[in-house]
Amino acid sequence: MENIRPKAGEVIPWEIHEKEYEKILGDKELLKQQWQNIETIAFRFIWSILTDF
Amino acid sequence: MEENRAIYEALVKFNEKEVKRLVNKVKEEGGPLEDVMNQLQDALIEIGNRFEREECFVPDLIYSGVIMKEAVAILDPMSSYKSGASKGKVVLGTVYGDVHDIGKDLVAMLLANSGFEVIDLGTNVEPAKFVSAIKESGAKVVGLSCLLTISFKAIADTVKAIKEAGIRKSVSIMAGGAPVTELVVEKTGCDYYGKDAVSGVKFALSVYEK
Amino acid sequence: MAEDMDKLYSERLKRYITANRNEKPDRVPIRPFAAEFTSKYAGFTSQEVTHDFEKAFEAVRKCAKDFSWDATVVNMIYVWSGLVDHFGQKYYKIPGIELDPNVGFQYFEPADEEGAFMKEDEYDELIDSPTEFLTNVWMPRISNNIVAPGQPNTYRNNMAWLKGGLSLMAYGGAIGGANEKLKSECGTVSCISGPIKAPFDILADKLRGFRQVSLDVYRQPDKVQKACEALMPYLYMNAKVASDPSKQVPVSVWLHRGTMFSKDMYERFFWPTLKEIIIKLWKEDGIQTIWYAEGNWDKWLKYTAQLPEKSIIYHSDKGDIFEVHKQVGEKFAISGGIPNDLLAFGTPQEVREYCKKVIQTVGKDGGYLMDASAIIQSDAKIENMRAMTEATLEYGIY
Repeated sequence: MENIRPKAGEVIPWEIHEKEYEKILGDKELLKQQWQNIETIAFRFIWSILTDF
Repeated sequence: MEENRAIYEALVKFNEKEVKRLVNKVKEEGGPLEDVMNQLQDALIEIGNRFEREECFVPDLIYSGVIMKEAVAILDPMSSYKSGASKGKVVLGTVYGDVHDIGKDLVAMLLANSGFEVIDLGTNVEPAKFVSAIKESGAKVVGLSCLLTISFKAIADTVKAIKEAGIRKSVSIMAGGAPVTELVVEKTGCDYYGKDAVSGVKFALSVYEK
Repeated sequence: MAEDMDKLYSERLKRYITANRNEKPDRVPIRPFAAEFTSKYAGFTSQEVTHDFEKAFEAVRKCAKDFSWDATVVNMIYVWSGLVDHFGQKYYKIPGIELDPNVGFQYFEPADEEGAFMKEDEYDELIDSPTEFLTNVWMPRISNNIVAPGQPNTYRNNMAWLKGGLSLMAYGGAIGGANEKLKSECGTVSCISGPIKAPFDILADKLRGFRQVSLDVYRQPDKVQKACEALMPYLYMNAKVASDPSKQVPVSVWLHRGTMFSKDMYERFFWPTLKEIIIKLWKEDGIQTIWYAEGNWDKWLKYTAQLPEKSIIYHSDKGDIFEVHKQVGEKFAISGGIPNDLLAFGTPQEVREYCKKVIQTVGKDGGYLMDASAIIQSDAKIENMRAMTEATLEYGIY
């Protein structure tokens, strides 16, 4: 099974996802920013089930 | 004689492997099982005393109880542990509306290890169920457990039901659990504030020794 | 009218922040942590406020208005059972389902190894990758719907992830709206933001269970310690991302099992990782923590005293609040300490006297916030809650 070992604050790190694009013709930072915004929320979902729910 | 206290020493040091090794050894050699039981029981009493002096803590009570159970299983895998003649019966339960069981289970374990027959009604127990268990068993002690302040009312309701059933005089009521205080015990009409699991056992002993 | 409310809110926010920073505000702020008391007062059942968060918010607003609360928790009945229904957690007893509709929700912990959500031989897996462990191993065990990777997928599994995520978004969004309403309709500050759990507590509560951890600390202490260390950065981040961006409102740590262990065990398993989370939040992010000391934490006061000045607000439950004040009152603000048994069984006069005594000793130089000891449930008498407010308004002015 895939072993990603996400750090705190992420679930599928940008560094992994970045390599999954065949190529990026446009603004990479834009992709990264959007990716990481939802990463934080997903992280919070997993951990809030543990700590709050 | 030195070997005779080794099991006791191992248990008060929470040395699980050593307790098991020694108990297995006695069993293989056909040694006196009664002596093993006495040592184990003495150790649990000592751990209870240390708990009262705040030298031991709840996890120690839980762990030593588990080691005891394992040791007994080695000695007599067929039957659950009984310590000879019963010291008396105690009805226990967590009051209606409350499903917490750790404290109640701990008191049940200590009572059983001290030779009491425990009628454990579980959690979220309705007052009527306490009443019928007291009547059926003839227990002279009942323990009401809770973890929530909302359970104060359920404690009072249970005491009231016991009164209304006409059996209040024949049973001593103790209450315990995190939010319980002397004031709660007084206002709900109980007899004794079990500030911790060990004091609950002492109260049961005092009732039956009267 | 709106302007008046704005002014009231600003005054209260200032009062709340000033007291939290252990300084002297214009008056002792009233900051109750009130759960089922609010539903009782507003005339809702526990089932209604647990399952319908809008009713829970409404009940808090009614109390905030009628009892002049300066700050309070927007919903202390923090588990919305709707989310539990959609995601399928097994560990709650919910009012109106397994519990009487008038009793609050309760966490139901597995009693033995067989029922444990994390098994005794899974420490390495947790330590290796905590988020993956939670997702792949823990969640399939705690939910009726979630399927572990490698097992045949199900429609229910897919829907539980979808609906779980949507539920959290819905609830989170609603909390934002409720904070706004608490401000605009009552002028009351929503008093906490992100949650902290001590790594050891979360291991004992939700992962292994208290009874199992009690054995692990003897049988595999190194792994317990490593697990706490592994959980630490995640629990720090979990609090940080949910905290108040303006850093005015503290996060809160709901302390649980730390007092049940020996000094050696507290020093080894509980304290180091929790201390690090609180210090990081304060030093790196400027975020204060409400140290919610459930039970009696007096024996660990000398550890708590090591935390940086103003980094916490010490909430005293069954401890001796006067002793807490003596030992850490110079460093930290203090809250709570009005006994719940007094609120349940005492007279308004007795409550007034007690509040007065706490204000005039613990609060004499500022840095005190009025609250009960434990979270206020339906056992508290309405007239006693009123007495708490009146006493603060009367004796709490500086």
